[in-house]
Amino acid sequence: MLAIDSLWVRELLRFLRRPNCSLSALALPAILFLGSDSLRPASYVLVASFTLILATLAAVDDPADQFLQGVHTSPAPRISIVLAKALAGVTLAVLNGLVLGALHLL
Amino acid sequence: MNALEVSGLRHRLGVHDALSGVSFSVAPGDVFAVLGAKGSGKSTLFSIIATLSAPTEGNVEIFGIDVVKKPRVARWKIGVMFPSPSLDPLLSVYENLRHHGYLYGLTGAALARGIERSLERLALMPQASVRVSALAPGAKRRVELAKAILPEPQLLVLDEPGSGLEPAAGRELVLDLKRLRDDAGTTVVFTTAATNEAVLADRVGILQKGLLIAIGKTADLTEPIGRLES
Repeated sequence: MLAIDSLWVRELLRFLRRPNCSLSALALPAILFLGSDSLRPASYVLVASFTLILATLAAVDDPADQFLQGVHTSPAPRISIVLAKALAGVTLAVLNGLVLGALHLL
Repeated sequence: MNALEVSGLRHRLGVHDALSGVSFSVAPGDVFAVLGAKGSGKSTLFSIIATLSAPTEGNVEIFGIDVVKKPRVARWKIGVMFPSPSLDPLLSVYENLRHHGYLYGLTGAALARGIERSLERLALMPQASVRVSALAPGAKRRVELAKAILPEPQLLVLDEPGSGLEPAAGRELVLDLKRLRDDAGTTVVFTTAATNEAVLADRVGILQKGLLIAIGKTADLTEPIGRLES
């Protein structure tokens, strides 16, 4: 559980410290969101999809950094990596959705 | 009981044998270097000892624990340092160590003490809050080492610890390993292609094309060819 928690927090920190990721996840959906009322439900779906795609790309990046090798040689169960990545992707998608929701209320 | 016991290790990669029956043992508290050129099988040997891959044939035991049959148990005993950075460049030195500690079940005061001890041992305290991406290559390698020793492993396994460093910095890192052995009694096994790093170990094994062609005390191996000046 501690391993999942740690890897999940790391994923969130990585996302927040890469402004290009955060912005690109929000940019296109935000444009659609501001464009027309009829596109607003679709923009929620888009922001969730974009965030999850970026989270998946980050998982592809990790082996290049060799960070995950350090996890593989630790006693933490390997399933914790999968669960932490999935949990982080969902968390970020929900957070970005909330940002759009806040925009909607303005 | 030996800290590391490697017996009859063979590993086939595609059509050739990366390791062809390698056997050796390392006593607790020893600093052992595996010296070999590129393609000699050093990294394959490292990845088997570090529980990253299983050998085609043969056994590896760490303090009596079979790394193939019980890799998770063996992982509690080892600290690993990779040849290329396994640090997260977007996190600070302290954050990298904290995340690594969590993977070993360390929390609270025990984790804070462990991080502090690791940072002090490698003179990294002033850089604790610096992002890894902003560090010089030598400092990054020291952070890698601090990360490896954080859970106080009984056996440290390092693949080319001096990789990417100036020769003098590579030697300094190996001297850090010896100081660590002296302070904490940690057994150290490292691979290297640099003779000037290998001669600092207590014992050296020379690996060539997957075969261990010589093994012994460093002085015994260097005597026939004269003393190496660094």
